[in-house]
This record gives sequence, C-alpha cells and structure tokens, in this order.
Amino acid sequence: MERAIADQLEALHPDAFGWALHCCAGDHARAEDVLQNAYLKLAQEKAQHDGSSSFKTWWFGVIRFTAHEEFRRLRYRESLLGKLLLQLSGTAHDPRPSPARKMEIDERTAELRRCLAQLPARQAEVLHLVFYQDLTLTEAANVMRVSIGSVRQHYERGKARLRTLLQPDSFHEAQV
Amino acid sequence: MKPKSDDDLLVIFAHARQCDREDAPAWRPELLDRPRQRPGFAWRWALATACVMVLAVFLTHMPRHEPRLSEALPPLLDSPPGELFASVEPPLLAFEAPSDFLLTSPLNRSIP
Repeated sequence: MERAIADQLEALHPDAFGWALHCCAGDHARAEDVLQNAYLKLAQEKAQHDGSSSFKTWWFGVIRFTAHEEFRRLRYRESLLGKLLLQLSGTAHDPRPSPARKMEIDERTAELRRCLAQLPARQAEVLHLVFYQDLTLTEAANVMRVSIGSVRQHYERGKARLRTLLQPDSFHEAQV
Repeated sequence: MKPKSDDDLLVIFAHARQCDREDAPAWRPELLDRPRQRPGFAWRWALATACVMVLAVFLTHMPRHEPRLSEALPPLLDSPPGELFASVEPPLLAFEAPSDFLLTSPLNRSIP
C-alpha cells in the first residue's frame, strides 16, 4: 500500500473509530471489528479511492458500508443460531458496556449517545458527521449516499429533536 | 462554518469526541499489510465438500431401476381362457322356472 494512503489512514484513525462506534450504536467490540474489516478491504484492494470525493468522505463511506454488512451478518447469525446458543448456554451477547465500563464513560457522552439512539438513523448520522466529524453537509451527503437536500432536511429536524431530548427536564422525566 | 446558535451542540459533541479518542484502539499499521483469513472460512469449504461427497456416494449406490409391484408379485388370480360359467350344471341359459308361462307376451298368444 502506498505510504501516503497509510499516513492518511493513521491520521484519520481516531475519528474513524468514532464513526465506527456511532455506526455500531456505541458497541466498542463491534466497532473495532468493523474498523478492522474496513482496513482489511483496503489491504485486499476490495475498496479503492477513485478520487471523485475527498479521502475522508470516501473512507467514512467504506466504514459505514462495512458496519451495515456486519450488522446484517450479526442479525442473520442471531436469527439462526442465537436462540439455539442461548438455550444451550443460557447466556447471550450483551451489546451494552459492562458496569465497570459504564463508570468510565462520561455521563454527558452517555447522555448524548442515548439521545442520538432515539433519533431516526439518518438524523443521528448527519448530526454525528457534521458536529463530531466536522464535515460539511455536502460531505455528509457523500458519506451517506443521499442528496444534499435530504441531508439538509435530516440535519434541521435532527438538531431540533436532539435539543428537545437533551433538555434536562425532559431527560430526567424520561428516566423516571 | 456553523452558525453560532449551534455552539451548544458543538460543545457536547466535542466532549464526546475527546472521550472516544481516549478509548480508541492503537493504530496498527500491520493491518494494512497482512490480509487476514476470515475465521471459519476453511471450515465452510470442508463442510461443503463433505456434503457433495456424501451426496455423490448416495447417488452412486442408489438402485437404478425399481421393478413395478405388479411385475414383481406372482399371478394369484390367473385363470385359463374358456367359457364363462362353463362348469355350472345345469346351464343357466337353459334353465326354465315354473312361472315362466306368466311371462308370455300377448303378441305371441295364439288366436283361437
């Protein structure tokens, strides 16, 4: 692999993990798997940057697609084998972080993640890409493979809904 | 450039970004150089090959022609050709009942 691409990937690695984490609904183990599989696609040259968009938006699109693939695979396995394994072992994979992990995660971050999980997936994605990854709406549209008009609509509606959810009163009421 | 009214969201997301960066796994450049064999991939091939072999053996040893039941069983009700009810005495067609005169047709009645 070219040195320049490797350097770009290294620079983007923390943000790429944050994006994978969002695509996996905050599941750290799955996010690491998704990111590793995305790197594998690059190593096997199954995904190649053609230069039609910036490297970052292309790379985030690959991660998003890989996360969706992983989600479908996981759902298939759970539908067929999950119930059987659950009956045999009596345990199941819990996507939520462990109690120790919960203590480590900052309360504000956890609250943001909870609120984003209540939004429609497209709205949560565009808010993450714009506010967390600092992408423009056009770049977010490239990553999500939707039109700029659609992204703008998700962005405005998502912001309004997120603000409502993040208000302290409504948050505590929701907990009660 | 985001409008100033979005600063509240920017602060929250920036905080989350900082937390996630601390938790991010370390960069491993070897991931880009060493293609990883997907676990279980060889097992799937072995299982598919075994299934094909079992199917081939089954089809090879399966009998090619199954005789029909009517051909396989011996003839139980086979009889030599001949006149129907030939052994019945007296012959049914020659039998005359005592009341047969009542069945005489008026057309056959003799004119006095």
